[in-house]
Amino acid sequence: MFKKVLIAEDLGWNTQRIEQQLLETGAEEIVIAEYCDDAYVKYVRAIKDDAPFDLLVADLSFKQDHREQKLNSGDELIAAIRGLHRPLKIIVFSMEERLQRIRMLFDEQKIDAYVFKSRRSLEDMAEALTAVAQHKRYISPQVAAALGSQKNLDIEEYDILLLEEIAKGRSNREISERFKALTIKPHGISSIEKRLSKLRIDFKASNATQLIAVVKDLGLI
Amino acid sequence: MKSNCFSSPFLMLVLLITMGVQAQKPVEKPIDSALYFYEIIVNPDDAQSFRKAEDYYTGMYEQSMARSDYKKAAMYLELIGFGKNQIGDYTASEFNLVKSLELIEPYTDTEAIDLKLRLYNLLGVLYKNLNNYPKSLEYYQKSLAFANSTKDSISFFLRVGNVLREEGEFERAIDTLKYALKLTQKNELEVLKSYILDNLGYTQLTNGDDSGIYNLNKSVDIRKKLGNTTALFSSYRHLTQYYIQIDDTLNALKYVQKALSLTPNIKDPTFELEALSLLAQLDDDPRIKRYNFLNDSIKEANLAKQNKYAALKYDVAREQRQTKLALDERDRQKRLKTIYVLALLLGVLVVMGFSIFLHLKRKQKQLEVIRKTEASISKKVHDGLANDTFQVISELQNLENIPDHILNKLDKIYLETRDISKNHSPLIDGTNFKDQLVSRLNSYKSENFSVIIRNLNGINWEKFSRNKKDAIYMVLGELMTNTRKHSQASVALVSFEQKGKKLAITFKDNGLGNEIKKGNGIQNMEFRIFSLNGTISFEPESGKGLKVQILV
Repeated sequence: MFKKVLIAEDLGWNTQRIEQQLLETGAEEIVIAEYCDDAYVKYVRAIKDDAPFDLLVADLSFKQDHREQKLNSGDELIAAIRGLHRPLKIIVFSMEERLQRIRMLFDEQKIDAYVFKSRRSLEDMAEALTAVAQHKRYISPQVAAALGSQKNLDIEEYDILLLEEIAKGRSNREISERFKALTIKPHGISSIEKRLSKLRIDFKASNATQLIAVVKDLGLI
Repeated sequence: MKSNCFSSPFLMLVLLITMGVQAQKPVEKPIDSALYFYEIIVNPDDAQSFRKAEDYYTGMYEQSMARSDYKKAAMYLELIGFGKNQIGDYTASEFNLVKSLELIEPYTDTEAIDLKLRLYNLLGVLYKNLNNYPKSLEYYQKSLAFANSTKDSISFFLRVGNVLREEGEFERAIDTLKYALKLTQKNELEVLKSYILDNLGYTQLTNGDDSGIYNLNKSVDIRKKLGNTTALFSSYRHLTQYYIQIDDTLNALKYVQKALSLTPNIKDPTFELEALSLLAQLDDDPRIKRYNFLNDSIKEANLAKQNKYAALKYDVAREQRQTKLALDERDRQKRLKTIYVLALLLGVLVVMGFSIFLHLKRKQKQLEVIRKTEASISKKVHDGLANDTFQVISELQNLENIPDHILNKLDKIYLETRDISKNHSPLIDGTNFKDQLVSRLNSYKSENFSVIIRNLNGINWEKFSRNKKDAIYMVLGELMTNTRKHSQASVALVSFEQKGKKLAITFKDNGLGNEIKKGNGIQNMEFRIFSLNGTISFEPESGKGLKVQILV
């Protein structure tokens, strides 16, 4: 696993359990920095001493206090460290739940894992450590949508047409024939069935009747 | 014989003009070819070159007017007027000088005042030549107001004295000249003094006061000392004229001989002619007497004719000028009125535009301040309160025997603070709006709650301002938080529709559709939309869910 770990987290006592976890997985040296600037200096010093860190666990938000800092957030710390072009695994451990921001960390800073701070973050952290050690990515389920497809959210005009046909009481076969006649694609029965089952999931409906009730309530048809 | 006292108006004019030139030669600095024309206009020789010079200055005048350089234009008119006076075209001279005066009137700088002074003096001379003494005095008086040296004042009194004498006001003329003489006592102004003494003596003698001889002789002494031949000639002429008047032929002959003896040193032959004609007056030969008589009569007749013609020309010209002036004035008023109306209109537009601009700018600034404040509060709640709550939770988790309901309550507080923070966290700068909005809406999804978006890609988001996008992002976030918290809905639909420059958003959930309490949340949303001049309506329908329509 990881031999030398750097933790950037602004309140010391919070890290006890993580330290414990790391030690259990075989970490030999754990360094804690309460400020981003400190973390950066320690990281650079370790490289100079020819004993670099192989994992960084960083929070994103740091409380501002009287100390003037060059790096004010975990994002900036990670960007600065990535600017040195050294191999390093990074786990972000934060309360940030804006998916856009989380996605940017994965896309632009190439972080390896995102552990969301919650009651079950210890379990998440354990999973994250295992995954990252195997060169895999990890993200806590609460914010997993950050890496999920964005497309499934949008309803298309085709779906509306389909729902209208269902609302008129037509069977899947009838709909297929009508779509074919109107050159609406896709019009194969299996495609229609697939689409309907996706819509049922999206609209949290267990059957076609319920689905129509919901979309009518929403004013979609 | 009496008429002979003034039989040489031409010489008087020469004298006055020479004096005038000394005091008020136009100062327009001539350059290169202009120097040539300047010499011609100041000392005209022949009609052809004078016309050329006149054309040149008329052209310069018109150019200056086209450039709206009225001061320059006035100076060119002065030169033309001066030249016209030199060749004896008084009407044209008057016309140009008066016009020049009109142009320079509004200016008060030194250059302009000098020009005004020169113009007043020229007009004074001109009207004296036109025998319009009151007018002449009027202009001289005006020039006094601008006199800025004793020399100026003395010249002024000298001229006024001469005008008064011509008018026949001998007593007043003598008083004036005496006063001028007194002014010269304190100053070493010998030339002027000699002129005053000459004129004073002559006026006194004309008025029957013999002490004038003394003053004339004093003038002669000064002029001899200065070697001023033409001036000396003038003194001798005055003495000759006086002795002719009192029939003292002997003395008259003595002085006319002296005058004649000076003429070889004077280029201008008119001086010799003048001296000879005086000599002829003293001759007893009846044929010469007859010649003199005829010559005088014809001269006088010619002059009268000339004057009559000039006066006529003057009247017609003035009439034309006045008509033209009236027309010009009417035109000008009309133009001015149009300009005023346009200026007023423009002014109103500018003021309106400016106040709208200021209003928008202030509003922009307010929104900016609100956004920043919100962002900072959101960050403080998130980084401070939420973080601290999480610390407490994790610390409690480390301990044993902590009742689960306490942890649950703390977790609820943690969630609550995160919601507050989330609802007030603005867009991240410089990243794709659509992505951010989708991420935001996506983040409300759970096992029991689905969010459906319709026509997000059909909107040209580039067209909407940062403020608008901000408001949309925040309001939709707040609606989602509300719905998920209170409505027990399983699905929420957000559809977008572009309506010209505006954006229509319909939010709909399938929750309880309870009546909405007018709380902080609603007020926030309304404030955000209203501040963009948009509309937002909440339409809860019991059992069918909540519908919110927004137009921004």
